[in-house]
Amino acid sequence: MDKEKQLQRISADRCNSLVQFYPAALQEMPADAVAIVVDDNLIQRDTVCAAGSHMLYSFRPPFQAEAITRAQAAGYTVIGRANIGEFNMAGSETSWFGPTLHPQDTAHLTSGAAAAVAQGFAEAALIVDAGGANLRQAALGGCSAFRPTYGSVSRFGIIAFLSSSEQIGGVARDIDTAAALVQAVAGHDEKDATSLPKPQYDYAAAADVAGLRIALVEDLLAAAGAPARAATEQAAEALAAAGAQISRIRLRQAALAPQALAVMAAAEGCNNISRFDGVKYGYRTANYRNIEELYCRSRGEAIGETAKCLAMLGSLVLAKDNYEPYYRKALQVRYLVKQELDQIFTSCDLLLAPVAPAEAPLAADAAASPFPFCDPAHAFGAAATLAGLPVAVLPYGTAENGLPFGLQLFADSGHDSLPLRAAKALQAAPRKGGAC
Amino acid sequence: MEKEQFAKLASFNKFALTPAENERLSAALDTALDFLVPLRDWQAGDTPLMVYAAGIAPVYRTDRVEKIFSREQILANAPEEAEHCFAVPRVAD
Repeated sequence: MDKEKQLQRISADRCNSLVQFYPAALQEMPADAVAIVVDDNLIQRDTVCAAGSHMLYSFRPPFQAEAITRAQAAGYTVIGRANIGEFNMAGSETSWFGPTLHPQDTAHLTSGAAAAVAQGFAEAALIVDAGGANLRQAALGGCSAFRPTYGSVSRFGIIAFLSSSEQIGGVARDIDTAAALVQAVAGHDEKDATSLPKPQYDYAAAADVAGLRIALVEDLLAAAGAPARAATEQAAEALAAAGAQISRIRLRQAALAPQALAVMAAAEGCNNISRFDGVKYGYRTANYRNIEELYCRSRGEAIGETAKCLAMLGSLVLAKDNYEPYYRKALQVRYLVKQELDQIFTSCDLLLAPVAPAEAPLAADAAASPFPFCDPAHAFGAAATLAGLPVAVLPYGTAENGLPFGLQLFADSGHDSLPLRAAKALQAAPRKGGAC
Repeated sequence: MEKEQFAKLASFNKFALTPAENERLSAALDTALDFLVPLRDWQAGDTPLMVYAAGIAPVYRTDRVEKIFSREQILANAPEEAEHCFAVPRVAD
């Protein structure tokens, strides 16, 4: 790699992929090191970690995320921080640093991690997936990504949003590279109370689907546009040609999964951003006379509308009179979704579905409302997120405008190698027209 | 949403909002509540609850005293400090 050329390319990025770039890290990187970027909500020692928010524009933590420490120990070098939506609550259009534009067509949006990897600024990215949105953006941005079973990677050092469900994953141009990064950071960590006890994981998997029982998720196929649906059907044909047994299932209990996810996101987001008050770190208003004004004006001036909307909704659904009809029911939906998936996985190994109804969204259509969950794309990642399942995504097929559609493959908790096997098989399989 | 309830939510969250934000966020919360109607109206019965993805139950560490950061490290991020402490307006007379 010509580091000078790489440095120039990254500096000239027109997509707003990175909120910070460390030229010295790139230039001084050992020859055998692998350059990565990390999402802006992963804490990094003595580095500004803003989580896409004005509220944390100056926050330099004295500690760092366990996943970053493990990645560095395994030979990865962090060369920059990828743009995310504010506190990872929505797409990059809500970032204080501005939206990230799709490298293939800058009229469309993507995530900073996907744009950085797709443009070759880094080999891979460590991301924090919340609700499947970050995986979706990776696939629609032309990248592959892998999110392991919830609890496999330490969440210590995430600037948290959706604590009960968010999980660190990897993005790369191919699924092997993404899985290798996740393998380097996975394993028990006592600093995370939800960390699974297994000390390490092996995500090496062959591109072999012979005999695998793979089911298409009818509900998500029906919710996708015809071209994205056709791409998913083509993927199923390719998997069948490689020896998989294809069937179709319905996720009946997942009908309320998007609403349940929205309630959890609001409730947990509300609590997680309540700590940002302008006292110990981050933004403080210049205009206050008492402590109440300090809190209210600091938060009012520095937190964006989507985060405010979710926080206010969170207070509402957690209020005494609303807990039963909203929050409690959301947790009940999660239970039923998990039960149904457990049952489905007794007769099939893997589920296949589109990641979104169509290609990456137009920048002009984004953020029509500060409430992000009305976007139908959220429904596609809701069930697997609520159940904490391992998911592999990859770009598959192309829209008329040349942008990729995305596929997702998910398996039962702890069976992380299955989606990787199928994703690898699809990457290796010949494609009918329009391959990306 | 009633103005009074909206104001209560903003106050509870310590958000000083502009008139334009009041309008947009009020409409957004109405949209959110409309979106949640199917969940609100669902008859959940005595279905069990699942708090964490994958049904994980958090395992907490035993409390132990450790000195992790120095005062200087902690105060390095303070928007305002005085006499080696976080500076805030007077909260009691």
